[in-house]
This record gives sequence, C-alpha cells and structure tokens, in this order.
Amino acid sequence: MLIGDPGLDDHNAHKNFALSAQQHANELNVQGNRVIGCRVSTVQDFNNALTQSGSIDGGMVYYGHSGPHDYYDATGHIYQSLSILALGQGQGFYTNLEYDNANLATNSMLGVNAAMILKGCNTIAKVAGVFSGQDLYGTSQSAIANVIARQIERRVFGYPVGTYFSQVSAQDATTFGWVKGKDPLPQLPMYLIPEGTPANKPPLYVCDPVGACRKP
Amino acid sequence: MLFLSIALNGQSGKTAIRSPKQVVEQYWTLETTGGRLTTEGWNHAARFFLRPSPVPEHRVIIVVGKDYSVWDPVIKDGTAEVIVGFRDTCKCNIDHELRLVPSKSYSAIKTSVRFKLVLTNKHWTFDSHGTPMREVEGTPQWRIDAYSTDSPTWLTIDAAIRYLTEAGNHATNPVFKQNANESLAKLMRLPR
Repeated sequence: MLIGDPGLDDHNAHKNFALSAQQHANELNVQGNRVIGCRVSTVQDFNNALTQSGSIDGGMVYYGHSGPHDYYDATGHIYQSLSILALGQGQGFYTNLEYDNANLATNSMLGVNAAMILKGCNTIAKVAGVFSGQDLYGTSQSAIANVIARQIERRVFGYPVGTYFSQVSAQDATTFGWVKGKDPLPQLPMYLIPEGTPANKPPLYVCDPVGACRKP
Repeated sequence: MLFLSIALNGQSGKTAIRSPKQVVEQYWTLETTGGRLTTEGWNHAARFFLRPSPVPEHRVIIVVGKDYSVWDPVIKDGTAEVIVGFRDTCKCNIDHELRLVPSKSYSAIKTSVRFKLVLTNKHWTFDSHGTPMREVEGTPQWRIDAYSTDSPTWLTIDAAIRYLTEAGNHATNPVFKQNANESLAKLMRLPR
C-alpha cells in the first residue's frame, strides 16, 4: 500500500489517503492477505516500496494525488502537459512520478502476476504530452497508468475520471462527486471512489504493458 | 565549454561563471518578489536575458506560491534547460485591467516553468533610461534565451498584493480600481 503526501492548499487531503488505504488494508487482511503500508513522497520512495518490501506476489495500491503536470516556457505558454503521480507535495523533480523519470521504478521484486492499482484522479486519462513535435510517437501523451505499466511490465489499473473521498463505497455512493461542505469525517470507513453517476460509477480501467488502456 | 571554463579559471579577478541553476535561482528570486515591476528593476533584470527588450505596454502577470524548487539543469552544446517547480497556490493571472483570471494551468495538479539558457560572452549595454544601446563582449555568462518583453512577470502572492495595491491606487479608470480591490480581496484569502 503506497500512500502519497496529503497535498497543499486546495489539494490538502489531510489524513484521507491514509484512511482510505487503511480501509483497503483491513479488507485485504480479512481475506488473509499480508499488507505493508509505505509512505511515498519521492520517486525513490516509490521504487523502495516496490523493491524493499520482500517479494510482492499480489499487488500494489497507490493512494495519492495524480493528474496533469503543466510546464510553462519562459514566455508563459504551456509547452507540455504530462500525466503524473504527484507523490510528494513539494516542488522538486523527484516528487512527481512521470514520463521523464518513471525509468527509476523497477520490477525486480514483483511477481509475474502482480498488478498495481492507482487510486487517484485521472490516472487513465491521456494528456497533451509534449507540444513541440519532438515526441513523434505521442508517448508523452500516455496516462501515468500506461507509463507505469510499460515500465514495470505489469498490469496497472486506474480511473479515467476524478476521484473523491466517501464514507460509503462506490457501489453505495449517492452523489456524483465531492459535495462542497459535506466532507467525510476523518475516520473509517473511508473510500476513495470515482466520480460518476450513482449506481453507474466507472470501473477501474486496465493498462497492459503493451497497448492502450481499456475498459475491462 | 570545458575549454572556456579552464580559460576563465586562469584569469584571476575575473567574474566567475555562474551555473545555469544559479542564474535561474537568482532570477526567480528577483522576479517573484517584484524585481521587474519598476522600469529601473526591469532594466536591471535585463542582464539575465540574451535579448533584453522594453517594458511591455500590457504586462502578463502569473501569480505563484513562494515555495519553489530549481531542478538540476540539462546542459548540452552551450545551452541549458532549467525547470523551476513552483507551488501553484493561486492558479491565476492578473490581466492588464487588474482582474484576477484563471491561469492556463488551472486544472493541473503540479506546475513548473522551463527556462532555456545560452552561454554567451555577449551582453547588452543600456543608456540612462534603460534603453538597450549595443551588444558588447565580456565575461561569458548563462543568459535566458528569450525576449524579456515576451516573458510574463511571475509574482508571489505577497508581491502581487503589493502590485495590485500600487496599481489600484494609481488607476484613473474606476473599473480598474474596482477590479484591483476585488482581486486584492481574493488574494488576501490565499495561503501565503
């Protein structure tokens, strides 16, 4: 269980990522799974979690911020937008896992059937990528789930939409998304669920190491 | 570049070449605290640019948080790319009518700005009004490869508040004055 930083300002999720991860871990424990929780604020933390927790034969779940990372040039125009896991709430290069540094994640301790679930916003959503035309194959437009799947050569799951915290699971949710003034209490049960029409929330999409991501 | 470094090290008393990262670090600090808001400051900051140019008629101001990180540069063939990751607290710009408008990075979870630099031994001299006069040769330095006029003004929330207060006070158009007051009220509510 990989838990990113809570975030700053309007993005401050306080303890809700940790609580959601705890909820998930409790459910996995009941099923007899062994779960290890790791706080990940940098790409190095992320890789350490994959490689220094023993052999991982089940899966990995990331709870944290994600979405597009916009890059301005010196003239104030955005020249690239990359899909990222915003692991850390700082501003340094290694606080984000993205197209430019995903090569630092390794799969040496991952079982062949191990998969990763990204519980964050828009991890399956494609982005504009590099605008300059230098990326002829459009690789930089890949959603972060696709980038990670290619890198660790394992299946990666994620949502094509935003997510929000809820004290009921996705199947029991009665709202489309987050409702201002109705934040969940900082306690269990806690779920990070996708935006979408109640009773018809999008499922986790899947990205294989090769090919495009798809609805299961 | 290696040859250049060796040659310069042999010249005691000469100005050392600041690394691209140092240049951007100094520029960002000067810039975001309002260093280019006055004409004098604008001209002073021209030394950071390869092609200094006059103060634009309408400034584009991008408001940023005060927390930032200058990333390690990528240097190749006498050019460098340096990225500054910054806390995009406001996700807003100030337009020339002093309104606060959403920035282009409004929907981003993280935001950065890239500066391209060139190592050059040429720089511009200015007259007493700050008008560029001629290009001369001197100690090589890394300079930002952009026209300074094209570069928006990046301001922290505190500096943006100072700017709006000043601009609002001097505005003769009542609409601009009202815009400045409304923008100030919004900025005051942001974490600084």
